[in-house]
Amino acid sequence: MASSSSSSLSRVVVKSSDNNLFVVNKKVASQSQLLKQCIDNMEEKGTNDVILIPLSNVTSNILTLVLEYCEKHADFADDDNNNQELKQWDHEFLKKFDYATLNSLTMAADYMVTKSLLNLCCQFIADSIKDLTVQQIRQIFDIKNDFTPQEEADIKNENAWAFR
Amino acid sequence: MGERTCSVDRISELPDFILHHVLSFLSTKEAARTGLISKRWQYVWETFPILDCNEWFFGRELDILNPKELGLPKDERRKIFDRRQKFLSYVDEKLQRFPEENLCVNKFLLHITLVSNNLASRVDAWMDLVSDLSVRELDLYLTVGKERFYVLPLKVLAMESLRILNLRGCLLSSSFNRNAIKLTSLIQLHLRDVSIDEETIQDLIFSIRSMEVFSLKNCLGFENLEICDHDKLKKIVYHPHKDLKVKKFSINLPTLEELDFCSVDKDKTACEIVVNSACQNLKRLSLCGIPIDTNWLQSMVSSFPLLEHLFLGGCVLQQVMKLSSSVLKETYLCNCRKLVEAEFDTPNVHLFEYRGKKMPRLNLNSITGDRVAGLSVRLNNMDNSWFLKLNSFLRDNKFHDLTLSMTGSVKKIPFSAKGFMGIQISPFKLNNMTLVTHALTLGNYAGLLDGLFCSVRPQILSLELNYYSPEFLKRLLKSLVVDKPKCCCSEEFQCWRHMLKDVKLINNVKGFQSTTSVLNAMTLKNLTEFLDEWAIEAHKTVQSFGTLIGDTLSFHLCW
Repeated sequence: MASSSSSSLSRVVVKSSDNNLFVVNKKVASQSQLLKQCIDNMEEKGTNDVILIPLSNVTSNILTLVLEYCEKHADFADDDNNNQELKQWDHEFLKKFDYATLNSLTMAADYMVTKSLLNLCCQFIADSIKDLTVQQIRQIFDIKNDFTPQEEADIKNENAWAFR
Repeated sequence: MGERTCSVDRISELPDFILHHVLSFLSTKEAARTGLISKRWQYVWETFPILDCNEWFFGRELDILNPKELGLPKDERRKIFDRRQKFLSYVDEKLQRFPEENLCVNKFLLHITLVSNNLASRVDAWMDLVSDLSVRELDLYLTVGKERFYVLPLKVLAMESLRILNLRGCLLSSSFNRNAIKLTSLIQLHLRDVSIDEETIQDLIFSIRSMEVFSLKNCLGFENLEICDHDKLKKIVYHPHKDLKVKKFSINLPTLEELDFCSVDKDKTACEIVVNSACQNLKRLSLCGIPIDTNWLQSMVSSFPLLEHLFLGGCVLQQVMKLSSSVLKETYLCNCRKLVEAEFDTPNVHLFEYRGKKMPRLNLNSITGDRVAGLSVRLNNMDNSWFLKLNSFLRDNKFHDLTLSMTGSVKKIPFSAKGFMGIQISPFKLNNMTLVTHALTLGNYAGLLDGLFCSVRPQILSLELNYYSPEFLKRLLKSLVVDKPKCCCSEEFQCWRHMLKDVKLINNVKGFQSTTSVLNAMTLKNLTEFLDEWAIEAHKTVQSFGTLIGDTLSFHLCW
């Protein structure tokens, strides 16, 4: 029988929803709990073949970004979480995207169970909302105000404590 | 379709739980305001599973126990009464609607001042409702009058879903049966200002087998504390009440990793602390406010093979202390007033932090790593010899980060540059110097800078913003960039103003915009205006909410 080390995979192939293939090394893939689970399952079965993991919900341009994130974080995996350089990188990483991309990235992070990326995205969205007025938030995210003026006044009145 | 269309509202398409996650990074008020964006966001806010019911949202003055006694006029009292009614119906509405609509509540927070006994029964009714929701985290902060407590309904102790329980200002009655405690999933239990007897504490420890963190702060009702016979507890926090004369505190837990003991007893009564040597997993130890004998400390440190982190606050008894350990990685030494000399034979310490008023001789035998000093000093003590001493204290111990807290109020600090002439002193290079001031104004800001920069040359200068004295910061900044300095140069003395090439603003303060990072007259003007506005805003925040997140303004100094 094969020893436990020979059945461990070093790489996996991930397929995006638009059928592009990405070869990912195991350490990088393990940043996603979804991919890690797939790898662990296959290793338990003792497969030596390269495995293919299809991701039906993630397009290639978003997958490229998630993998870029995973690669960076895999490099720092042995360091403690408080690494300043990594934090700086995280911030610069998200700053580049428009809100549509950020949305898709957030969804992908959730789907691929990359918790730290999901947290990062949500924190980033929260930070960009934080100091804005309701009107400014609508503008930035192109959100249509579907309240009547009366409804709006009522809500404001009901939640007066939050607007003080 | 095109993926780059950002003119379509995509954010509202995110599923509820992700938007809830976004809201969890906002303050409750900010989160509530998002409910006004659109119907989608209104729904998201109204189903937000964190119910934060804090009376302060409705008025900071709701925590006044007896407005009449305080002499508040009738219309003020009426206003407070009305606001409280609003708050109460807010909680009522939330606690009725969530179960009715089958909405999930992960976390319930309640902060209320019980001004009358009627309110206690109202809280009882709320607790009844809450205990039927599968809440994972419960946070109760009840303010009651002196010598009064709110008796916690037993139902709360039978909430099997709870992971974290925070209680403040309650009475945990001793008359209940041990079997009534059914906190089977509880991981963290925090008690603060709680009245509880020894037996009840033992019952809690005995019954909550899943508990990993147990914290007791400022609680009354017991004298000695012994914690043993538990196989999950990792962290114990025990800060005895100031009126409590703790004589003995003993722990025997092989799973224990962190112990934090802090006494606020003014008399610094000796307390026998026994950490059994069976606690072989102890990694972090923090001892505050008790007399510490260095021999005892050394024997403690030696008996735990994994002890990496040591925090000592308060009193080291001897003037000379010695400590050696090859496993310690972080050491903190705070406010040890008697200390004159210390020797640390701790080769693996990579973070050493010293805080205090004095500058003792520290002999640190360890890798240089991070060395941080925090000194507090009265402005009238900042004379030439103090600055000289500062220079050698930092140099001898290779500190590279300094925080100076300046207190007191004087017209001029006693430093004089003239007195420094002829003395061979090379300013010590620091990474970072943070200035904190509790003083309102000073006469000679230039003198303060002269003294500091004769003694140290920081690469980064940080100023902690405070709302009560924007004046101090404004004048200090002005003095830093003044165009024509009154120079203190002479043949044997090189003034720092000639060495400082430029000052760049590291923009890390929210709400300040500047086109250039170079600190010049223009930026200074903007900064001055910003500081004024900031101070007004901060003052408002403090008055309406009590807490303020500290901001610092940082500059890169190029020497």
